[in-house]
Amino acid sequence: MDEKQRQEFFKQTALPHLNAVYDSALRLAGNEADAEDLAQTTFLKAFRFIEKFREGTDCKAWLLTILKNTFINQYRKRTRGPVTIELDEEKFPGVKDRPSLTTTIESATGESELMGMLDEEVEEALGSIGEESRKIVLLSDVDGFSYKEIAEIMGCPVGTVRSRLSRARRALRALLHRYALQRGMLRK
Amino acid sequence: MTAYVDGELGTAELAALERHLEICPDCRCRVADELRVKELVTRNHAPSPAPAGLRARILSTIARAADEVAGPGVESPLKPLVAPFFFVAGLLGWRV
Repeated sequence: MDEKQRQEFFKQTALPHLNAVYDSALRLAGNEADAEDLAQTTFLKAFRFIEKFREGTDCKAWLLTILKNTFINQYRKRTRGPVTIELDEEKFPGVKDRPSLTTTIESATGESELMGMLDEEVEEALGSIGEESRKIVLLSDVDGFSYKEIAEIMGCPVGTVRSRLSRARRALRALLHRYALQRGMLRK
Repeated sequence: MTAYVDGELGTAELAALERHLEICPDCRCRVADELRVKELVTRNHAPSPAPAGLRARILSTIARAADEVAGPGVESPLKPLVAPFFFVAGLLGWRV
């Protein structure tokens, strides 16, 4: 590949993931200026090592791995130390009175009504479970990071990632269930 | 359950849990429920759009990086003008 082809390949393959990389960078860095720097550094590294990317594999995952490593090596040290993640059930209404799981799952059709949730409802629920819980859920479910990677990013043990993620998903489920009830999607 | 849904269980834990799921409808429901929440988040989260201009800045950064890689192959238009100066400076014993 000559230089022009490399640039073209980069534009076609890596750049379409700009929003996803920036979104994740914003989660990691916690502010727009650092997120922008982080995203820019990630793409520069990706360009330098573009030959190492194997066509046909998941480019977004490759970019997010570069992003994560860049963040761990350069940013986390100066942005903050290990984080503490609290999901206070008193602070998030709906967490304590969570629905019975079987009610949510076993509908007449055998499909969960939760799948009819709107984007805004999911975003609202994510915004109601606390910043750190939201972050851990998105790192797992949107960015596809493993528990080990999330632990590195958050600066906490893997076991903590697992338990926090479990609690955050329970809280989300409770909130989504409540929205579904409000919209008449579920019977009380 | 969470680790199962996320594909984070080791072989032994996975086998044990799957044996349990065969006989426990409640746990099957819990797994299905957690999977659905995970899918909802994956499917419905809209990424924050990158700031206007970031794409252009990245392209300009990689163009500069490409120039650096090209290095000696790229002739500076000033080279013919500057080279005699360094040659004379070298003769006079200047340290550049």
